[in-house]
Amino acid sequence: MKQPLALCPEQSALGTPFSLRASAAWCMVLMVWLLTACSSLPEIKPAGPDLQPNLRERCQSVFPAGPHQFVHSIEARLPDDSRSMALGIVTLDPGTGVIRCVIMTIEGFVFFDARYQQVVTVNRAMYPFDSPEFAKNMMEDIRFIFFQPGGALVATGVFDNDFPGCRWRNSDGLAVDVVLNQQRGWLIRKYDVSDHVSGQVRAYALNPEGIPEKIELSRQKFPSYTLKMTLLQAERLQQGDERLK
Amino acid sequence: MRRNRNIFLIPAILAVCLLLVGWSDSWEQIRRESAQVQSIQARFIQKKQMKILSRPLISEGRFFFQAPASVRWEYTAPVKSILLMHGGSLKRYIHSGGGFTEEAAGRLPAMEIVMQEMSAWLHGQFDQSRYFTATLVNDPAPRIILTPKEKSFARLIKRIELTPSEQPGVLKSILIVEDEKTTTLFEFRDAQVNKPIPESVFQAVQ
Repeated sequence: MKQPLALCPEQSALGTPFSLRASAAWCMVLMVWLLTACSSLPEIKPAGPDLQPNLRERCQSVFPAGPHQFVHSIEARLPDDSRSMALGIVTLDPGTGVIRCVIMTIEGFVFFDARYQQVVTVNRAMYPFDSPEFAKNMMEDIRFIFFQPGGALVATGVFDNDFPGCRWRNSDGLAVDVVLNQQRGWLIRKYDVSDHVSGQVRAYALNPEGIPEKIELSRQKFPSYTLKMTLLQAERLQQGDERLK
Repeated sequence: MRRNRNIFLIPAILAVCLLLVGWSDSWEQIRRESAQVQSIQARFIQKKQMKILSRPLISEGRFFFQAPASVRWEYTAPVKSILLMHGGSLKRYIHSGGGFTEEAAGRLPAMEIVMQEMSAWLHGQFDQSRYFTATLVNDPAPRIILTPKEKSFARLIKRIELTPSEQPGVLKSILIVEDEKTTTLFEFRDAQVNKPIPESVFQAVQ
């Protein structure tokens, strides 16, 4: 059995919005089905001749090319539906893999500041954001959103719902799909060893530069959470910019 | 519980700073003028400057203060958020899905700092502050410099500079210096002193 591309229609960049009641019922049925189903990755069929030639480039183009800095407001939703708001600054260089991440309260108080270059170096971390696990997960999330997946691009084509996209698979056999939705945005999904979805990024509301003004990251693994990010500033940086150091 | 207060450090400091609404060039005059201010409301612009930022991160909002200890600290852009302090409780609301929702962290305690500082500073008794040493500086312009007493605070904030406006009882700015390259500047404008403020302003988000 195959996993559908959108877990819940009202949360999908790809599906048509349903009524709230219908969506809730649909999601409940789907969750039961997902829990009981043997999982496999969504099938990718070859795209038509008009789509296939530049699919690889289109999939790669959803990730920043070269160093960038992004400032977002970040709304965190936890499993108990509690919510928190913060501001996040991320400076990254896909070429070197360097990430600098600063998170602050709305009032401007920095409570997390770390840099990643093969290892995580934490400059400041306030309780309850001071665990190594938090820093590691934070960097994983940033890479998931902004960096092209590791491993090889193993397939390009059209998914079950006729949206084009690509699949990467890393050396551990874990897959990541990028699903394109024309000019509206994209969906990135990563899978665990059982080919269940372990995380998802939904990017939409593209600005004139093609940068998503809205990003929603959801993590299915424990501890599950959702981050709703709204773009405040975006800037292309020069190679070797001081802000990456 | 003690460690959780860090997240609320800035809201707590801002709330306390709002109590420093009446001052001049001597502690005695500050004490006298403090007693005259019962309420204040103003708009503010917040400018966050960091080495990692090429230009300051700007936020806007407005605040209301009513003696003895009611505060509404509201951001209107780019992120909508409201901090309400009234009757001994502190809550923060964030704008989400078309309405305001109470923030989870808003339930964490921060009142310990705020209330201890308020009771002393409201009466101009800066020498009784547990957390800050206050210095009155008149050169080149009048300012109050607040320096953390505790090492744990000093690691987070080097100093706070409060600058009065020419309007009696009104702050021109609050500068929070985390280090020399990381600062948060709050600039106030359109201030109104002792204009009646409905109690609902401190109780409801709308």
